[in-house]
Amino acid sequence: MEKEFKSKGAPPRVTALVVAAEARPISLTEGGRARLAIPIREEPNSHRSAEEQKVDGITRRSAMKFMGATMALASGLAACVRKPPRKVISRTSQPEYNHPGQALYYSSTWTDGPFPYGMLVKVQDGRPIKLDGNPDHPINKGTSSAAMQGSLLSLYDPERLRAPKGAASWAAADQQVRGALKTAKKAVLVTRATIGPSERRAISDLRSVYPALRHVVYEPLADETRRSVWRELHGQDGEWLPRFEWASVVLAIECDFLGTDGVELESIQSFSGTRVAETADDTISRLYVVEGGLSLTGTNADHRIRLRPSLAASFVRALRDAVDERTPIDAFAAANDLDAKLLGALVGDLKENRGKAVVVAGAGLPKAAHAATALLNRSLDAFNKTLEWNPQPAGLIANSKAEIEALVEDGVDVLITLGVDVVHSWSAFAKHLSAAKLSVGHGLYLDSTLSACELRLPSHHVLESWNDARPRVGIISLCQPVIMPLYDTRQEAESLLAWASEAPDAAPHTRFRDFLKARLEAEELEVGPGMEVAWETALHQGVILGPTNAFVPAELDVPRAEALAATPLQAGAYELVLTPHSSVWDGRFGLNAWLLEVPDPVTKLMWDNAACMSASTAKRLSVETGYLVKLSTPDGSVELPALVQPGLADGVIMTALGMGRAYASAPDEVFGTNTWPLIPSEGRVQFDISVSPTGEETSLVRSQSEFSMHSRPIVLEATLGEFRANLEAIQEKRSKEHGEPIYEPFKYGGGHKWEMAIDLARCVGCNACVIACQAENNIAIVGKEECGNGREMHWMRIDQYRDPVSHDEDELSFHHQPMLCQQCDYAPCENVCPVNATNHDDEGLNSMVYNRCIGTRYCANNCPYKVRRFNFFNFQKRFVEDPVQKLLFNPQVTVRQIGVMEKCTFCVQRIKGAEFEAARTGSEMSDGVVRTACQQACPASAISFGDVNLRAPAGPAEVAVKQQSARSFLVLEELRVRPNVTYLARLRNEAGEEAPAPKKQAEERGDE
Amino acid sequence: MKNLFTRRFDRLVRLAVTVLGGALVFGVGFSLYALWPSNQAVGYEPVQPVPFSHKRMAGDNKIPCLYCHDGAERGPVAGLPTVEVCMNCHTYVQPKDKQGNLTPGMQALFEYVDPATNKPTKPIVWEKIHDLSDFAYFDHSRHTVGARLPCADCHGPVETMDQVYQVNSLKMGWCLDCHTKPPEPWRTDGRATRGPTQCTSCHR
Repeated sequence: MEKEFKSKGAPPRVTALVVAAEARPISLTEGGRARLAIPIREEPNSHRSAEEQKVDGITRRSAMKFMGATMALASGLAACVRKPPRKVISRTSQPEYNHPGQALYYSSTWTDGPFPYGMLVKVQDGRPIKLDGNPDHPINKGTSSAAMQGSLLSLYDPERLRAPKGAASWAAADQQVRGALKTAKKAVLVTRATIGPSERRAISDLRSVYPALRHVVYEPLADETRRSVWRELHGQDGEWLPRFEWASVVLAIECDFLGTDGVELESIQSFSGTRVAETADDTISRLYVVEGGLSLTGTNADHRIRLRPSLAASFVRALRDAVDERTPIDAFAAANDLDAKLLGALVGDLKENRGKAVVVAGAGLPKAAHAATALLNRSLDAFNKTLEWNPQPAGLIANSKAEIEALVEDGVDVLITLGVDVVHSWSAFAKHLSAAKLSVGHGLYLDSTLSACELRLPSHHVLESWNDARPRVGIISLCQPVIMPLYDTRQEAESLLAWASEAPDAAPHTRFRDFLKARLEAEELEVGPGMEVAWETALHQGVILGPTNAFVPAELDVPRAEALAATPLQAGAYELVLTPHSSVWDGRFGLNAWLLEVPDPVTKLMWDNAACMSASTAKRLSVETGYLVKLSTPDGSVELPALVQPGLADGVIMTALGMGRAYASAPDEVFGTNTWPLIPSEGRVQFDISVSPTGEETSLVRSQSEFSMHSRPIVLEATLGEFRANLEAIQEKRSKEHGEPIYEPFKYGGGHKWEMAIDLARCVGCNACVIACQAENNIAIVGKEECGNGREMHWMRIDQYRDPVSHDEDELSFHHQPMLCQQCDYAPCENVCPVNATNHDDEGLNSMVYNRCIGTRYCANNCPYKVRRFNFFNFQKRFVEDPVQKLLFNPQVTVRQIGVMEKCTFCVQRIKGAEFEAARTGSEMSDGVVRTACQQACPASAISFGDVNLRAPAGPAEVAVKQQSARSFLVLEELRVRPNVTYLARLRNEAGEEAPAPKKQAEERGDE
Repeated sequence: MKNLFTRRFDRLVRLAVTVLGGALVFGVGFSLYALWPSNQAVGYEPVQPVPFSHKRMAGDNKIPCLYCHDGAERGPVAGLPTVEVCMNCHTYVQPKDKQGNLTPGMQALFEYVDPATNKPTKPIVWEKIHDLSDFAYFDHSRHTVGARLPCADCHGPVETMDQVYQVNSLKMGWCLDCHTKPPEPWRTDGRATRGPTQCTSCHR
């Protein structure tokens, strides 16, 4: 006690003092002595003496004593004494169906994103706590995307604009706008593309009141290039929707249809359905991806051909010539240093699968590529077979920057932006806003656009809004609010109605609802007696379905297409592929912490974007990961960190758009780099850029930096040919258990046994499950720095593995493996907990009891899958203390504090909920009554979960059937921990093997 | 004579005795504090904003528990009656004393009600008596519907209480006292104990 503390050996990396017990952890240094440590974000103080290491005049020793006493007091108090008194508040009157502690589900539509998907909102005690897909919606059928799951967070974001700024009140703002519009000679309204039919009607009503008002659509990531080519070649507006379920051969040219191109939830569903083979007679589709960048679709390809995007159009033309048997593909292959054999196989596959093949070209490519693709699809007889015409795309036709510029450059009297952050992607627009006599911005946050406006009007969140959407011909999707508006906000469409009329806002929040209802009843719903019921039924279902006849557009204008496809293209040494960010899209979700922190499925970057380049390109430029490079295009230049990403074509740089936003309250804390200055006027590819290292370095945060399996059978895969020749192919690759398990077997009683199966043939790695789990289980955000320390809290993660395909280090095949707690029967984590905080329960789950955990982290150490996450800090503190943010939490799941371990629980709250419901109603639990959050979200239906002890007639459960599959394997099974998550291997359909065939045969198609 | 113990050893012993004595005093003091009845959960009897008497309502008038606390058979939370439920009866039943004034209980209730329409105007903020830790998830319906337990088994003879007090400690050990008993005679599902003893049954 009296001795001066002396350090032995090498000084520890970090030392310092803390006093407050609840904010700082204890860690072990190399010497093995328990020391108090500060978070690594502060400077290491190892060189300072004990005297110097005082903080607020308190030395280390006294801090230790104080801490010890505090801990004893805290734990003692907690154990023996009554909790601090709490209040409980009754309601004044009970809303119908609303019982305390029980959730209600409402149908709605997610209108935030580029495509309106049907949404099911779980509402508890008057607030939404989980978003999922609407099972009745014909497009996403109950599945959801990462961005949709993440939308929930922005509802409770404290940074939201809460009241109108620039005007004293809504009434004053409305008066100002009406006055300005009345006298305006030129007024422009800028909106997004995906606005619903009722909002479009409100705009046209507004325009009829103010004829000087023009409406332009600013949607920089609309697929306008592609759509304009179709318009030109077919003479009418519309879009070709790929029907992957009818296709046996899919060719994607720079097209990320599984990620960010098109209706991805539908594409994933239909494509994944074609990838499953269980017997020797089954066959699967074949996916060729030809791209210069590396997309999620590319990582799921059977064959990937790296080709610079400048060659895309000429490649498709050459393919068409080869398919039509005018010129063999060898010439093109030789001229561009490509594998002639593989291209020959591609041509062969396309020729043999006329009417069952589809070619999709990415929205970023120039018009020539789309024209060439249309011609190729025509040669392959894809139109109206594997491509379906939709005459009513979800979005309005987007105006180009040039068109909008021409309208506003001479000064505008009134310039209104409605729910679109123009300035983030088009910084020059800010000067138009300042030049306008009256600039009005309507948005969720005080973003860069609103900051440049005079009137800043706050918008409702989608969960507070009434709305409708038309995702496709024959489908009207309804959006209803599930919470009273949190702040003094107003829906954008409501503002339009307010400006069109002189009447003050007599019925706030319902004027647009009445408008919408009237329009629907007049135009969409079956009119008749009991009309109120029709409206309520429609709201209950969330969709109104109308006739969906097969629409056939006019024939393709072949000469025009050939002329367009032959447009020459000049490319430089380096090309730039700009992609929408996998979770943040064009930046609209750029302030959503969940979506910023989830690792990008391809690069595994968190909180950042980078200039990705292949290994050989990096060598040529003498650049390594982290080096800052300057990308210069004729449109603008940007400096951002480089990332060596094997798999890109040489000379191609790829980066994500949409990053670079910051909260108005913390403008210096910018998330990522804004790459919008690099965007060209047409498409999203720059064909001649210059790349130069700046000499500076920065650090990038990634969730994974090691992608090799090191010859361990972690992800098993076989080719379809191997599998069909030998159904045991996968089983033979499995590792054998090394002896008997070392622990005592758990004695199960024969009740429920919950197990999971994940089909890697279906999984595409989209991250929907990761965010769904985060929303369901109150998982914390840790921030960029702690992510850099490997402390992200995601209970479910997608591991990416890469296998070399040839000696070229850029030729790789990729694997995605969702990894979560395997709920091992012989769990190594359970036996090492000194306080018995983690046990096995009689239904097969590995239980985690947070109140027992003292934070030894021995369990995480012992876990071979490293799925246990530790709360190194009070990550949820900010959420728990904020009166609005804490509404986000799922009350069925404990909110974890500092110092406790957490991990996937197989959504035990849902299991128990279903069991209680069954006990309450006296019914049996059938298969599918318990669905974990990840399973519910997955667009590919890759996850099966259920009770393997379910007997006939209710059983066997789907998961038990999946476990019997010939493709099943376990991860790290040689460790004999007996995991309860079975993986089903993906089969690669390699060219040269037997011809592929689609899941649905042409005979089945009939008349749909 | 040479000292039997060195000065250093002597100092050490004195220090040890002081420390132990201090620890003993601290321990006794802390135990007294912790185990003092007013600091214990059992017997907690807070004053409520409305002097609602369960003795009169549930005892004399024999109103069933579930009339007001209907959540107990529906889900995890038994809930409290809404002010509207109170007004179901008290719109008509308004006891007055001999001078014709409303009783104190009625007066307290009517602060939450608009006297002209008898519609509730603001919610009542009660003092929570039976409170489990946030990490323990208790489901009422399992116990009422599933196990057919009378409310009084855990909440005590509430129908005798003018002011509700906590009868049982509701600690995990107390819960397990019942859960580890043999199953009830009417059970046919072959369960080993009266209630589950798995961690996940209550801790999520």
